[in-house]
Amino acid sequence: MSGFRHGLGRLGDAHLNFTFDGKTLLARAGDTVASALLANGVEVVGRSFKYHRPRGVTSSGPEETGALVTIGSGGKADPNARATMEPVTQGLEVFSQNCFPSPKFDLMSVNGLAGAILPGSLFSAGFYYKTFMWPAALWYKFYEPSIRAAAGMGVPPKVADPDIYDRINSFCDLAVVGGGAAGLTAALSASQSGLRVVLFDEHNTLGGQLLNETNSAANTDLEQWRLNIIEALQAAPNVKVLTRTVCWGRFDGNTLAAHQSVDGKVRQNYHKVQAKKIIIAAGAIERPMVFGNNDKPNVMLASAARRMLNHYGTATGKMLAVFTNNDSAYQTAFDYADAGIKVSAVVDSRQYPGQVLVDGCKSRGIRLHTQSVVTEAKGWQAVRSIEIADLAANGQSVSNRRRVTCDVLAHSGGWTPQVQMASHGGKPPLYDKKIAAFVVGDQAADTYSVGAAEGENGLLKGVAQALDAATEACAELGKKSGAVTPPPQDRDGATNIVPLWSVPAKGKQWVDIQHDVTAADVIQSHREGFVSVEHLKRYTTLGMANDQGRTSNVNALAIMAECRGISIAEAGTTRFRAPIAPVSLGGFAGREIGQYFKPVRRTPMQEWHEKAGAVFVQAGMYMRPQYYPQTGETIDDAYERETAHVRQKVGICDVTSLGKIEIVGPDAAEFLDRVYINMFSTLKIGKARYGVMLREDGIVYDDGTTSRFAEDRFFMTTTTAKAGPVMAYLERCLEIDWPELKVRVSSVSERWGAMAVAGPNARATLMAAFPSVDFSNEAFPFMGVVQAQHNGAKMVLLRISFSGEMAFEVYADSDHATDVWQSIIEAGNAYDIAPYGLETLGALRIEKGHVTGAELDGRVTLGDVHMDGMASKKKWFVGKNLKDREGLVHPDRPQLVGLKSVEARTPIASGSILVTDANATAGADKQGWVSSMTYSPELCNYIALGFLRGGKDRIGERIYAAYPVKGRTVEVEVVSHHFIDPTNERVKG
Amino acid sequence: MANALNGHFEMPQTFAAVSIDVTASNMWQLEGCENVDVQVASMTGMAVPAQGQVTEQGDERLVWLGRDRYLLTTHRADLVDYQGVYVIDQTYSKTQLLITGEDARALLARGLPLDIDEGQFNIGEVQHSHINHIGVSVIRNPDVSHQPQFEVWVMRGFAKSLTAFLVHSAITLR
Repeated sequence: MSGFRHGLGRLGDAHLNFTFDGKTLLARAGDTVASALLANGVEVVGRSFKYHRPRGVTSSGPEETGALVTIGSGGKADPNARATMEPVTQGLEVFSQNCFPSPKFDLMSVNGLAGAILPGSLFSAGFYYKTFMWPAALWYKFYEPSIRAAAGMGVPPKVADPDIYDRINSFCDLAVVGGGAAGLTAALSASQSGLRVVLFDEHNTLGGQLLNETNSAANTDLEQWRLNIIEALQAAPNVKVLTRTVCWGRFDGNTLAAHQSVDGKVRQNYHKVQAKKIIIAAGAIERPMVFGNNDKPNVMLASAARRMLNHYGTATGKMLAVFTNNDSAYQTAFDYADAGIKVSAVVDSRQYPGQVLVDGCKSRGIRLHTQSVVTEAKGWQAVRSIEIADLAANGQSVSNRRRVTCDVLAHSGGWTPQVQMASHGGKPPLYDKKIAAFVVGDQAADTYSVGAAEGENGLLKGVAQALDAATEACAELGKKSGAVTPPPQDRDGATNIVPLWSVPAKGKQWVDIQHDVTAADVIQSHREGFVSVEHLKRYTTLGMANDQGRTSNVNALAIMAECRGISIAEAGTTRFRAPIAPVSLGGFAGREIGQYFKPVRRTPMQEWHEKAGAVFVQAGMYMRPQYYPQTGETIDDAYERETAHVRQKVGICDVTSLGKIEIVGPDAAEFLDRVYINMFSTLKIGKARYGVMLREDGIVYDDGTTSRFAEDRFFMTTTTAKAGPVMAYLERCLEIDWPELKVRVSSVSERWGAMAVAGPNARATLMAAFPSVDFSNEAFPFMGVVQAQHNGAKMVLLRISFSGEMAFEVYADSDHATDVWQSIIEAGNAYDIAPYGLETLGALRIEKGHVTGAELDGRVTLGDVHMDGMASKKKWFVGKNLKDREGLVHPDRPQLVGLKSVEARTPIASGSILVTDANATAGADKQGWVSSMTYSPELCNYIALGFLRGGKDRIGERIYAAYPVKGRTVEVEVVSHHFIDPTNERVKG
Repeated sequence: MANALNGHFEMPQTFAAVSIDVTASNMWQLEGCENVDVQVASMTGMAVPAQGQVTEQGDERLVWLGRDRYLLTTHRADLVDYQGVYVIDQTYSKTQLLITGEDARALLARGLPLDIDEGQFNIGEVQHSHINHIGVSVIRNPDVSHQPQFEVWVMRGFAKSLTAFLVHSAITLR
């Protein structure tokens, strides 16, 4: 227990309670979970990924590698939350991860011992690929489940998340990513132009590295500068300030993706922001030093230790030591010493730190060890001392090891500009030797990187860059940015770094602390040939944890470059991809869960069907009545009853889902002649005709009926499935293929509710329902079209049949369609009318031998479905040129046939393979397939449609429909696909 | 029209700073192949709107739908083809929602990927897009009581799904 409260920092003194692993702890309003845990003396927060080593807080920001916790419980549980980014709220539940029974005593820490005993073989780089290979039988049964049980970070909740997540589309002129001094300045300057500005920052509090500064009297003016800018931004009506918002990706069209955590009715907002200009002021992140046991709790980044003290009022330990290769970490030592906390040593790998720093140590009584390194952090679980040593002048060896007491080690290996966002446009970053880090290379269009993100750590220089960027961005948008008072103090950003990528001493030196990847793993990766940084990443999993390698990448690729004898610039970085930070899946789902998962398209008669007790089935975006069960009926009982009812009496079915298209214009008939295989220019007004369309390659595309209302006006129906595609296809033909045609097409699918009335009593029913319409054969023959009105509703009536019975389709104004439906039901009651659903629709059309999507599956030709005679020889049409290719007219092609179970009540499974041998096994000669099946009440037999090789000439043959997945084989007789009324007497009756 | 929502939502749905209501008018799609703008102007007596615009005269509006294609909202009960202008009755194809109030933009932003901020989408403009995967046309109507109003046209079959989505979103706005 080393951390403790030390002053207020910038927090107030309002107190909150939260729990950690069930124990109630005290926090202050404004604390993060990390600062509160440290203030309560919690050192071990969880256990590591592979080795289950103790893990504590390592940072104060999004780069956190150690303190991953689960926030909340039940469906609200959020695993792998970074304790440094989670604000404490009253009653917050926090749980440690990856440990049992507790983070301090974890049974799985045996993994760490095994790794220590067998270094280089167990759990080292690529161990997944090399071990657990034999015997193979154990892989699925034992190895994989065991590894999965032992590995992983956190546990996802097993119950649904009850919270609401929103997706929000936003637009702005300028997006500023990062709310540090540079970002604040850029946003305020641009805001004065009147442009719309959005400012993102991941943290709860704006200020970036300014929050590391002490809140002492000496800094009052600097703090006030920060507060003034924030106040001005919040007051500006044209500025949207989004804190706790991680901007995690930049995409085409200057689109930024960001997740915002909010406290309220919604848990998170996922913002998709389109910006005209983007200023990236994402700052820089401190890198760790690589030395022995650098993963131990209480080893943390120097800037984090400083922020904990100065912002959160949390001293991270009672005795601090500092290890660095640059200037920036000294201020941590000075602030701790000035706060009265013992600083036992500053260990600097450089020979000559600046005199100011030397004097600073001296005046505070801090012992400075130059040309020295920390070789190892010591302590059972958390740091209790460090071993330091002299570093040889060539940096290759150490000597004079000695022990220094401390309970927290703050370290700094330099600063890594956050170049990910700038690199999402595909621009690789460039290595800058001066700061020993990668900086933004070529800027993407409309993008500016400023401040520490651009490698400029100086406060005034960074702010000046931000002002320049804001000025230029505004000017390009035709506006003038405003002046912003610069900070009253400067902070020299020169780090004077002398890189030390790893300490030349033995011991477990961690590069990627989250994924338990060591410097030795990187060297092993090189030894085994995985030398590209992209291979290194995949082989070791380095940088693939939720910190996305923010702290590990540069150290690792520097070690790899050293192994390869090339420069760091030559080694390069892996490609940066979104998301750069962990984001919840809830945000992506937004409200598209449960009933909002997918929009449902409703027909005008939907309520009627619901009241009638219909069972619905999804058909595209529609939910269509599948059947209307009576008490105790199964689906089979229901559709067999409905089918028989239509054949014997009359039925009514909702067919609103058919596509409906109006085609108008002087060339409308010519247009239809081109898209259909058969002739439509000869169609008389008041008549309808069945038509078939081909694709350009000669394969059947869709079928339907088109009616002629006038010389230049047609009404086309398409299949439900092809309603949208056919509409788009027709538009494409007119826009691209035949722009010379004077034709317009319009979807009227929603304008009409549609119903099919079928059965021997159909005519009588409609005559009773619509007495003003003449339904005689002479006035209204088969394929006739009548336009009428009923109780104020416009109607179109077509005498066409999909069922094989006397049938009509009635199209009525959508708002009146239910009234029309109801009128038909009421009139039909005298003829025992009953509604029927999709199952019966299918049964009826199979009995009649009509094809639909199950048959027209994008593989069949006109000949396959016996429609080649329909194709006009007098005109050209789409598909004509290619429909007679050798392969498409081969006599041995599978052709549409009817199939009848030899055992009448034995079903034939759709999808069955047609074979001639009842005992056929895999590899048998497959003769065709079953496309759709039903029980035929009329034939008292299970029947099917299918495609059989040379089927036209095989009528009467007995073959087998095999369904190997279920081990079922059914003997079937090949028959005509017209099971009933092949001469159309019923439909024309 | 309006009755696609009957039995599902009591209109208007009113929330802290936004309301969702429904309106109705006859809708005649006007299009053709030659001199369409001239003939439509002659037919309706209204100026033909430019791309993305709406023109208004009395209680009639002419809305730009696409190249040589307009939609007349009116209380005229019937309209016939005129001088090469074809009339397609779309009256029952669409449901017209009215989103009004201080939070109207915030509500629509939950699904509409269009820039409808003040000054970006002005009164008398129309855009065609989608909300929650549902195709919509959005018209910026004149303000009501100094608050913005947007008219959202949705295919009738999707009216219930869209309204349910908007209501669900509106509940959590404040």
